[in-house]
Amino acid sequence: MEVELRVSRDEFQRIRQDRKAIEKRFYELEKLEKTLRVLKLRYLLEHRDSLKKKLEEMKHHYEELVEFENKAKKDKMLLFEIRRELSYENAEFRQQLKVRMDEDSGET
Amino acid sequence: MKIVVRPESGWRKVTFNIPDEVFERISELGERYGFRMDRVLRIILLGGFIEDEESGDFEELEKEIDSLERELYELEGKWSPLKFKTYYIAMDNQNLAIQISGLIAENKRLRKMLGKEDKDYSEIERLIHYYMGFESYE
Repeated sequence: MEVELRVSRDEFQRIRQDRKAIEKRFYELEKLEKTLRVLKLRYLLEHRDSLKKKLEEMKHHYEELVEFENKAKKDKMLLFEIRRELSYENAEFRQQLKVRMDEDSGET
Repeated sequence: MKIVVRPESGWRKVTFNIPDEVFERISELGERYGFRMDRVLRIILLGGFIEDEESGDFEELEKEIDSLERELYELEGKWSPLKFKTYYIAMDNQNLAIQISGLIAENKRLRKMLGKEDKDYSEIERLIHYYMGFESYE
């Protein structure tokens, strides 16, 4: 059985030079286990911290969105009311203008 | 087990011969801690052993991560429909703002023709401006 591994040119040079030390390292299983344990721990800590950060950001955006929804709902009611008032007032003004124009044409 | 290391390009190689049981043990360690074999071999080949002591409870951390992921997933589930709903409310407001803008112009013209006092629309116009400029939000 054979396992093949490709490395960069620099890494290959290092491996060639450290060949003797590497051969010993294959048998240092306790050190390997400790290393893998620490690397996994670091990964889990980083992952947890990034999730915490993402969750905080998401909560903040969600709160902003809820706030915006409340504002937009209130504004919608206000805009409906303004439209109703203006439509009514404009209709009234048009009527007044019509009466005035009719009076003016009656005078002439 | 034969481990052959080659550079990205070129014909040269370095070969390491290790007993199968040692390779098995390395493979088991990789699996236990969730590392691919090539990653474990790179650690051995490039001398990446860590000497520092670092302590922490895997199980506790994994539980915490699960809980955070669940919370994030739930929040994302609430976020999308709310964003969709709010977008359409804002678009309704934009349509209303367009209509009101036309009504204000008419109102100003009629007031002038009838010799009535001007009305202050600044507050309404600010609101109109706000929704007219609305495209989307992130």
